[in-house]
Amino acid sequence: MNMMSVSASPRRPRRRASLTRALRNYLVLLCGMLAVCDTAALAAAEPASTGGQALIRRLTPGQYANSIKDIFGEGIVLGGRFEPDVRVNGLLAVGTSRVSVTAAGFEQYYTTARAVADQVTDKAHRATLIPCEPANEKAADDVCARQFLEHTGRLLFRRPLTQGELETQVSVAREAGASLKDFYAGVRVSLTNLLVSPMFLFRQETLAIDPAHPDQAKLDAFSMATRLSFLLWDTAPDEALLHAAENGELNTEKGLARQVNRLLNSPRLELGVRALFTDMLGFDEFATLTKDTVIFPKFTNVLIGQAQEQTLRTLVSLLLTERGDYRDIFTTRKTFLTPSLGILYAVPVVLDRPINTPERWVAVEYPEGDPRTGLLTHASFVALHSHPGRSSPTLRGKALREIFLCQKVPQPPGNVSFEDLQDTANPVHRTVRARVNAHLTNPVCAGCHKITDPIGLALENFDSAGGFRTAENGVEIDTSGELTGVKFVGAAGLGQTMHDSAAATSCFVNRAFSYATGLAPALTQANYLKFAEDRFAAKGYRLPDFLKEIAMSKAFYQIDAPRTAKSGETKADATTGPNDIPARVFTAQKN
Amino acid sequence: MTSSESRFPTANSTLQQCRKPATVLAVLALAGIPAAPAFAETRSFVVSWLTQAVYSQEGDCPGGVEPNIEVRFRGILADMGKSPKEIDELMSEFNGGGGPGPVHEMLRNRGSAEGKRVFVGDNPTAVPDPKIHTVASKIGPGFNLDGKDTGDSFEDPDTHETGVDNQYFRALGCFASHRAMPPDQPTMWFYAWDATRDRTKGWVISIDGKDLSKDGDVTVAFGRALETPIRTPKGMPQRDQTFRADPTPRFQNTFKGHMKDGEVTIDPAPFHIVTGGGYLPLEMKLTQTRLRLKPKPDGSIEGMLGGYQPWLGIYYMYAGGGYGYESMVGLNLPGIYYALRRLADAEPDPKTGQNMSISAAYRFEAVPAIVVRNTAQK
Repeated sequence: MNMMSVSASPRRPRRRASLTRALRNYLVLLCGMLAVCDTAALAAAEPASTGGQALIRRLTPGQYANSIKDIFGEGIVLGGRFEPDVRVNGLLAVGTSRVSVTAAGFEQYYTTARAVADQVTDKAHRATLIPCEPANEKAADDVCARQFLEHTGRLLFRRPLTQGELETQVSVAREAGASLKDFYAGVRVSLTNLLVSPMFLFRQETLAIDPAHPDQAKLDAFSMATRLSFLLWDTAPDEALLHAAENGELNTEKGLARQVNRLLNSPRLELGVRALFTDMLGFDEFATLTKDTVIFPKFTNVLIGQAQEQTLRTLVSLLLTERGDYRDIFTTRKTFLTPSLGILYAVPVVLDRPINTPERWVAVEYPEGDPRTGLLTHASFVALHSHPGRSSPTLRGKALREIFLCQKVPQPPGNVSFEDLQDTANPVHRTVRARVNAHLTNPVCAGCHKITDPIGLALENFDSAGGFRTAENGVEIDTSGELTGVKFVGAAGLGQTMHDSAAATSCFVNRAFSYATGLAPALTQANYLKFAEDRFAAKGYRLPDFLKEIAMSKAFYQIDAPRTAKSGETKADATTGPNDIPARVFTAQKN
Repeated sequence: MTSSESRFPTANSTLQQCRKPATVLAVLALAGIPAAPAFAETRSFVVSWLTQAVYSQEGDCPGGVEPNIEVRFRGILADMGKSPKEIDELMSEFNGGGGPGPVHEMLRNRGSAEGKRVFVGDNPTAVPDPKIHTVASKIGPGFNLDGKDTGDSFEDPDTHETGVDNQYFRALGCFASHRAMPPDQPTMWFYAWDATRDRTKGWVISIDGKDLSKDGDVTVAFGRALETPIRTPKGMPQRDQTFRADPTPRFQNTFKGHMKDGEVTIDPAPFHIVTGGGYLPLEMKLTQTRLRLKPKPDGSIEGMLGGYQPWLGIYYMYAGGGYGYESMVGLNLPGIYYALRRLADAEPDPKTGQNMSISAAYRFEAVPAIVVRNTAQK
């Protein structure tokens, strides 16, 4: 029943496509074995691209926290919460350029900034975090204040402070320090100012003329460093990367490659990958996820975090540690479980540590043929996309199409009755499939459900909480399903279909590039995205290689800057750009 | 009990019962743990609650249910020679049983030994036998341990076995905290088990047999695990948790068992398990142990465990609760001591002839679990 059963449609074009894919996979495998191949895809040059837009993007809460931790260390405690991000085109990363800061939101930033500044300047931290001692603690000290603010401001703003910015904050520290008769109190006020500055809270991208193509604009070196760092590490550029931006290293292919490789080879790459998938998989929805614990007593609050962590650990292990094939996320039998997740899934989780160990993670590999393979069987998918008290093939099918296939499923019309679907105790329609079929007698509903439910019904072995079941209300569950003409049985069959789906890898390429740039893919970038897809395939769908492709591409940094109608030159705006850095002559645009 | 529902449920979709040895072996191999020799079929469980087996009925205490705390303490003070006025004054500071205060000091240390006032919990014979009321019913849960049907034995309300030996029930069954009609649990035991649950390692049971859907011989393992049960939102142990059986031999018991009409029983043998202490005896030792396991439709089991248990161990479980067991739970520690000693019915001391064990029975439920055995603790 649960054996994978994937059957391709008999139509010839699909068969030809399948053969082509098989041939391509074979070549990739051969290339990998010989390690000398230089296929057309591998050798092809990046196609011309008009580039995207420069943006002003608000830091996500994770990026804010990572930045503070990296600049001031793990010892600085962050409390509170910030305003929620907005998901646009499937990504919060795209939504970050669509949000501002409300008055209430500013209060949250200000409170947090004060707390951070208090800690940085307190007696426990000042010796470590402030690189100088004032001549007199009870008075202002411009020299020491300038030294601290110049160094810290550079890390916070992700570029050197302008002379004006620096002197303003030095004078604030001077006046506050003198008034309060406390050097550190003065610095605290200036640091708070930096922390609530839009220059810190927003990634403001600025432009420079591409020396190789004077008619084109690209990000300036500091904005390049910022994009690069947030893509790969989900945090602000470190000192080495800022230095590389400052000395022009990022403007050379060799220099850029050196920094990209450094970031890719760092263990901190895991942070970037986690952030990418946390966004792509919509884990922010866990914040509002609830389950009826009377029906699902195994789904305790601890699982809210562990469900996400299971998936992220699985992805990191497969894609980074093992340098595996991205497509295997749908079929992998390896994962990580805690005792509580073991309870949820009813599988053994044998701890290897002494007794009294709290929830620990254990590597688990399901046997061949086990129905719990792939990401789609994780609670982070089947539980997240279910109702509190019952599973939902519709929500699951919709999520799969939107997250993994980049397809938008319309919302149901407002006048639909869901009575049939909600009646889980219906004596006639005892399974979800039966209830869905009854619901579909309404032709208004059938149109959308036929693109979601045949996918979601294949996951019906997993209840609303993610627990495994073979029957519902005493009736054996039929897990046959279909996706774009491919029929399959069960989660394993669906996983294999997704694994083999060109649309799934194409979607990931689009999403990852969109995540990197903060922009929904534009038609003008179609050539590059097709090129990136080919490179992804040619490199065996290895994520680190793909991230390197993006990080080294022109498209990642290239900006389609507005031009004046007459001259065709890129429009400069010297009024808001820092006037003491010649390269930074263009301002970013609100998306 | 011949319907399929009365049988131990066959493994369905879950791996909880090791029906899919390949999976288990794969996981164990990954964890670097050698797997135990495979039985044809294994069902495992973790005890979710355990209580003294009682069956409290109207009128089963001819002397009446033991009086409530205030009434009893007033009686004790009267026995000490206090006037009604003095008693009223003392009890005005009783404060619902919470100390300290002169009245509590007086009641706690009401024993007399070598000319000093002593705590009666530690020195139960420092006061005369208060002769607490005991159960005189003919109905009581448990097992016929000695094969005899004498005047002081019960008839089990479920199995209708006669000659049931459960003197522990008889001894304490007239305290309000020890009274309940199944499926309710006596308050004292309900609280004791719940309060110690988070520090008590799981008590795990495995039933091994060729085919647990049929009558036949089985092996029953009952012992302590290395892990503590994880609770559901309602506070009960979760189903399907993985436990490693504690490899220490003295924490494990293996019985020859038999399945008949869906129920499992064992051949008499000694039983020993260690608890988390607190409100339970630190260790529970039984001789002539009997066990009855009955599957429930939801996959869990209900069980009855019985045998002869050293009564001093039982007494010190109560005495370990201190004066609070008297002033707040309403027990009478010296009364318990004398009742247990008087009603003890097995294993006489060779020198004094005093029986050192008392027949006892415990009711419990257990939920499906995954139990890994033969694991060396790292």
